[in-house]
Order: sequence, then structure tokens, then C-alpha cells
Amino acid sequence: MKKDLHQRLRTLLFLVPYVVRHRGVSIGELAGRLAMSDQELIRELGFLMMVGRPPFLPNDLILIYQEEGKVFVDLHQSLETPPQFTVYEALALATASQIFSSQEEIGAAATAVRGAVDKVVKSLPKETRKLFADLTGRFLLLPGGGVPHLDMLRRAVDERREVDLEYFAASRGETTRRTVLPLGLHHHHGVWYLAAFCTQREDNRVFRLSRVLGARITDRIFDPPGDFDPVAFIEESITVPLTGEQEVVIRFSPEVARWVQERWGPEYVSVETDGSLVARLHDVSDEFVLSYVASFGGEAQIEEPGELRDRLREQAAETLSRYA
Amino acid sequence: MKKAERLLDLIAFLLNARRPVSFQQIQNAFPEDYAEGSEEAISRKFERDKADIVKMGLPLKFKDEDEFDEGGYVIDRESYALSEISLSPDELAILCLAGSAVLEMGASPFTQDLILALNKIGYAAGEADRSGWFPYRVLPDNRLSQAVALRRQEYLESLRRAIADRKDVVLIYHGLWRDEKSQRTVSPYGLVCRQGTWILVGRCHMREAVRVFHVDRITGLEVNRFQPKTPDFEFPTDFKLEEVVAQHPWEIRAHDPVTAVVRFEAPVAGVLAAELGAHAEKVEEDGDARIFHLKVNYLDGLLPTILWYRDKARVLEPSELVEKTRAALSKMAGMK
Repeated sequence: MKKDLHQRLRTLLFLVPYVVRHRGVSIGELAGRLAMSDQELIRELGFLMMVGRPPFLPNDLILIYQEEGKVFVDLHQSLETPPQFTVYEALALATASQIFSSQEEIGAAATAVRGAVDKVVKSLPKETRKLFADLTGRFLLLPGGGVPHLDMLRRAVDERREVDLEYFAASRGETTRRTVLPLGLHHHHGVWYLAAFCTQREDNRVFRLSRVLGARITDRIFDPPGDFDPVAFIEESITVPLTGEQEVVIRFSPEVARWVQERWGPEYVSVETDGSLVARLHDVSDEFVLSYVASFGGEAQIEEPGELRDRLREQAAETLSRYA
Repeated sequence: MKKAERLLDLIAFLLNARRPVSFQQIQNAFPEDYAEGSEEAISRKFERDKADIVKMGLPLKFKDEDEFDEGGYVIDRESYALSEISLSPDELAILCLAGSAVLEMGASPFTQDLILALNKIGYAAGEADRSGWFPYRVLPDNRLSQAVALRRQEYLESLRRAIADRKDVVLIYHGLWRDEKSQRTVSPYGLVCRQGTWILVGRCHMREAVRVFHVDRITGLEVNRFQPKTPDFEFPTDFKLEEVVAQHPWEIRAHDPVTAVVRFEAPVAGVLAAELGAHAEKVEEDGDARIFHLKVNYLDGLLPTILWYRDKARVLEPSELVEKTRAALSKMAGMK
């Protein structure tokens, strides 16, 4: 992450007191907390060793060091408490807290998170509070669709409890029931996902929270797998691969080409001489392709496979007949 | 001495001082930094350093001479230090979930601030170590090249500062509706994130009206550098940002609002009830089906959602939307 000077120094002013409180914290944990690489952290520790108070004799310098991958502070030179929240830090928290809609089902979570932000704002010095009041409302995060079971699934992940799930599997167009071991939640482009081990499929699966039609937390506790990274797993699962066994070719008319190009990026699409756009997608579900192409209402055509193109044509004719 | 080091040294020096510190004392303590060169250059350098410390949000003040002390600089330890905040483990966990979710979205106007804020709130609440707390990951958007992702982060931070300081910006903007690039001066009123897409709301000086700009469609950005301490504009009080940014395509203000009535069959109906329920004027139940009444400002914007669900969706009203749906379906069915 690129940081400017102020961000870097504010990070360091937190780092020293954090290590004062958590003596022996591991390099990996500390770097992770501050979103730095291990190497970057080690460089910053070296830098902090040169910082201190006049007259800068050896005992006037910060003494922070790592030993066997653990970090210690012996001399903190008055930097033993982190500085107060800045107005931007408070704004960042307030903006993040808007991610939960105030819909009834997760109202409790939304209320809890806003209550927590209020406590932060109340702790601010008067001038910062005034600045916060002027700027809050200038940065908005529109919550995506409702996620009725978010708070319950969060608890299930934290407490490692099995969940009985009623789920709309969009790729098959049907509702399914299964028991899952919830492993982690992730938010991507306004959508919440759950990574879980599905006991029926005996494999890890990704569930989109808006398609969870029912969920019941059970008393059964499970042991989570040690080295599973739910966020990476979800990101990989929801990314359309660039290569694969089954290729779908879609052509978009010049009228919609620019929007499609922005949506998919250059790896997936190529512009033809007539201004139309060709997208090549791999290993995507038939149901997704049919819905996606249909949503363009004739401004997009499935070129390959022919079987899918015919199916969409039939579905369109069938839907049309209902309006007769 | 390098600037980063000098600023930290100065902070440690002032935090540790029991009395206000005069500039003379600072000069004596930092002979290499504030003693060499012309008096004017030294004073400018010190002014810049002071401004940096204040910009970092630290309470550096000049205390006037009184009966006890000579005048000088102070960083009051009490106002410097993070206060304790009492939070329940649940409040902490849910705030962390919100924060991580925003970081995982990629660029934001406050990425680094959010990382520090989450750390500080954990510290202020005296949290016991929880494995769920880290690492805070800032995920690159896999649809974007690294250069575009970096540009997005840079623009969002510049816009955040421009909004806070109320300074105008000059944009090079690629408008997709007209498919043309233009240069415009904009008074930035705020930033809105809709499903991972950041949108600038501001007054466009060229159009003399409030407009929205997708940050990813900005290809050049410069903040007005003249008189940085004087705001260029006032925030308007007669509208809210969320009223200007459409959350769904059918909310784009293209015509007077009409109510569209659409019936969705199960199981799609249940999913849409979760996704759209809060935005509908009314949702009627008919067995497993749901009939949505939606306020629509742009009928063409609702069409894709209806077509997406094909035989699971049926437009009931208005007749104009029925006709548009039929026309699109005819085209798709190959019966032009």
C-alpha cells in the first residue's frame, strides 16, 4: 500500500504503543494488523531505532527490536500511548458502518455498529468533533441488497457452529436444503458471500447471502480447517476464469459495447471493426449466461455454443407467449 | 536529518516536555535542522513542520506566556492520547466486520485511515487478541489493471481532501452516455460508493448543475492549488447525496416517476424480496410469488432486471413497459 508521509508517521505512532502493550507480538501479526509486508515492517523497526529525543544519546532513542520473529520495545521515549482518532479515521469508521442497511432483519447489527461509531465520535476532542459533524454525510456507502442472515452467520462463523441452510441455487434455478460449516464472510462489489463446507457435497462452496432464504444456527460445534483462507476462496470462486474447458462467446452491439467493456475489462473482451464487442467467458453456468445475455434485450447474442443460443431463443418466445 | 525522522523526534520531544518549549529551545535541541541557513529559511522550515504535525491530527499548540511559564509550543499529553472506549465484544466484532468488508472492496477514500481506525478502536476497547481481527486485507480489484487500481486509490484520496477543504477540482472525464471526453471544473460535494463503484457528486461549472461522475471514468484530476486554506465553495444544504445517486438503474432521473408493477415467481421472488424489498413502494404476496410496486424514473433501466428473470418475471403495469418488454423479447426470439 502506498502511504503518504502523514499516514506513515501515524502508523508508526500507533505501532510503538501497540508493541508496548503487546510485548512479543509476532512480526507476521503486527504486519498483518497494519496491512504491511513483513519486510516493510522490519524496515520501519530499523527506522524507529533512529528516532528519539534530544540530545539523542543512546538512551534517548527508541529501543524497538525483533528477536526470533517477535517484536519488543524497551525504550518508548514518551510514545507509549497511541494518538487520538483523527477526523478522517472517525469518518472512515462512520462510512464503513453504513455497509449494513437498516433493514429490520439485521437492524441489531446496524444499530450495534452505529452505536460503536457514536462512542468513537463522543471521545473526540471538541474541534475534531466539529469537523466530523461538518464532513459526515459527505461520504456515503450505499448498502447493497438486504442480507437478512448476515449477523446470524457472523456469529455462526465466530462460534464455529453448524448451520442448516435453505438456499436458492441460481445456477440450477431451484431451492436446496443443506447443512454447512460456515468458514468466513466476504463482501465484494456490494454483495455478501459466505464460504462454507457443504456436508452434502462434501466440499467447500460459496453462498451469496441474498440467496439464503432460510438459515438456522445449530448447537453442533465443528473444528475449522487450519489453513483455509475464506476470502481468497470466495474471490477465486466468483472470478470468471480467463481459460477453461467450456467457452461461451457473446457478441454485444456497438450501442452497449462501452458499458460491457467497463464491466469486464480488456482480458475478457475484444472490439471488432464494426464497433461490436466480443466477450469470451469460461466455465460459467448456463443459467448465468442465459440471464446475462437476456438482460441486454437483443443487444447481445450468444454465438457459441449454438445449443445455448437456441435455448435463449426458445425461452424468449415462451416468455413472450405469456403476454399474448 | 530526514523529515520523517525530524517530525517524530519533535513529537517525542514536545510530548516529553513538562513546560512549553520556545522556538529557541527547539533550535538548540535540533541544531542541524533549525540552526543552519538564513533565519527566514529556518523559520519557513519550522512552519512547514508544525503544519505537518497539525495535519496528522496531533494537538500541537502555542501557549502564550503566563505567570508560570514563558510562551512556547506544547503537545498536551492528555489531548494527544487515545481515550478509552467501552465496547462490547459484539460491537467490536461487527464494527470489524464492516471495516474489513470495506477494505476488501479495494480502493476507498480512507483506506489507510480505516486500517488505523480499526486498530485504534481495538486498542481503545482494550481488546483481547482475537484471530478474526487481522490481517486487514486491501484486495486489488481483479477486474482492473494495477495501474488503474492505483489511479483509483490516488483519485479517491485527492477527492477526499478536496471535499474536506472545499476546493474545486478540474477533471478530464469520459462520459459513457455520449462517449466523449471533456474537461470540467467541479465543486466536489461528496463521494458515494454504490456496489463497489465510487461516484463523485459535485456541481459542474460547465453545466451549472449538480452532476455525478464515476471515479473510474475520470482520467485526469487536479485540485485547485490557489489559496489552499480558503474554501472555493459552500456545501449546499437543500439536497442529500443519496438523492442524487441512483441506487438502481431505474432510479436515474430521466422522466417523471411512474409506478411499475412486476410479478416475480418463486424462488426468484424470495431472493428479490431480500435484494429489493426495502426499495419497493409495496410488495404483495400471492402464494410463493411476489408482486413488486416500484417507483421508476427510467423505464429502460428496469428492463434488464425483468429480462434477466425471463419467464419468472411478468410486467403488469405500466403498458409502456409491457410494450418495451414484448419488443425486447420479440427481438431475442428472432421475430423482429
